[in-house]
Amino acid sequence: MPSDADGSAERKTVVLAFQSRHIREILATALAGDGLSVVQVGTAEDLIQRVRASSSRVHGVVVDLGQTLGASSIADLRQSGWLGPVLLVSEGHAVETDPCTRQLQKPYAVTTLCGAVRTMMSEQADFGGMP
Amino acid sequence: MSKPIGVVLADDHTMVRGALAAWLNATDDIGVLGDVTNAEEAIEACLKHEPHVLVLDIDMPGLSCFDAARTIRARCPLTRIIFLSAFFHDRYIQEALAVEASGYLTKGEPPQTVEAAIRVAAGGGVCFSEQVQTRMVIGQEGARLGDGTKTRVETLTPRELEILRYLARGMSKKEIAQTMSLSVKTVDNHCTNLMMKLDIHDRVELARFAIREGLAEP
Repeated sequence: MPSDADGSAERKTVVLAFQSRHIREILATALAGDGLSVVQVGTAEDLIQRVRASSSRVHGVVVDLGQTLGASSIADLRQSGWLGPVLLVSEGHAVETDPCTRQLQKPYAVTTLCGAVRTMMSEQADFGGMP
Repeated sequence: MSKPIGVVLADDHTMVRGALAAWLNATDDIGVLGDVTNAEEAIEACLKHEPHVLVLDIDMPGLSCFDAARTIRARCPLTRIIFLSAFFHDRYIQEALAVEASGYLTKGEPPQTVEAAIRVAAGGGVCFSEQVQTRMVIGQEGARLGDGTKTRVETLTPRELEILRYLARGMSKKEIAQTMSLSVKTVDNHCTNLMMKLDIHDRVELARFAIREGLAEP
């Protein structure tokens, strides 16, 4: 558990749901370097479970689970009652999602994704925190 | 007693291997399970010891270290690979990314850096220099090294560039949509994308950026 002593309790948490372990680890390292606490999951089931288990401590989600599964996992997240910001990595073309979901198309620079996550988090802060 | 992080070292230079092994063995948490002199032996050592991390020299005679890395990834999927090289070549880094390496270090780095990288890799992170991180691009095929000379403006599509010019002139999204015969939602999506790419998130800064890049009149 994060402790207050090292300040990690104040860090925002983002869940990275990526099929590719390598990509997930690259992005997790970059986002951790930006001061975020990063949770890595590799499947839609783990994503839902993880967010459900600690919804008030999850401040954002980034999803790259393939075009169809990615969109459906976001729909499942919403159905479970989690309404926080999501960044969906899409392949080739944008897909229909809800207004709280941004999209980033491949190919993208790691720095671009980090910027998008920062934006997502700051907008969530303006919104006033978690729903 | 075994240490929490097991490592195999593969380097054809005895002095490098010996010095690094001695350094790592002196830590509380990293133990060298084997040290070998070429890529074939690295495969055998990984199959035998199943280390958390393999530190693999790129410039060894015999089997290509990248071919060996592919074999190790397939047969020991839990072993993380950190490449070590005397050189910082784009081609090597591209190949390291292609085989899903957890790091790339040069031999000019101090042993503390190798030690730290091993811990990062064992913990599920990656260790590439900042110069590599900032050039890394994720595509359908995985991670690769992007063109380091590409400016932020060059990452924009022609349509995003056009919208940036209009935004810098102070036009509203509705006016831009009318001018470009697009829906306001489409313009809004383009705005979001170009702001993400440029990492600029307000209109005043966008206008300044456009002027600085010669895309709009001051």
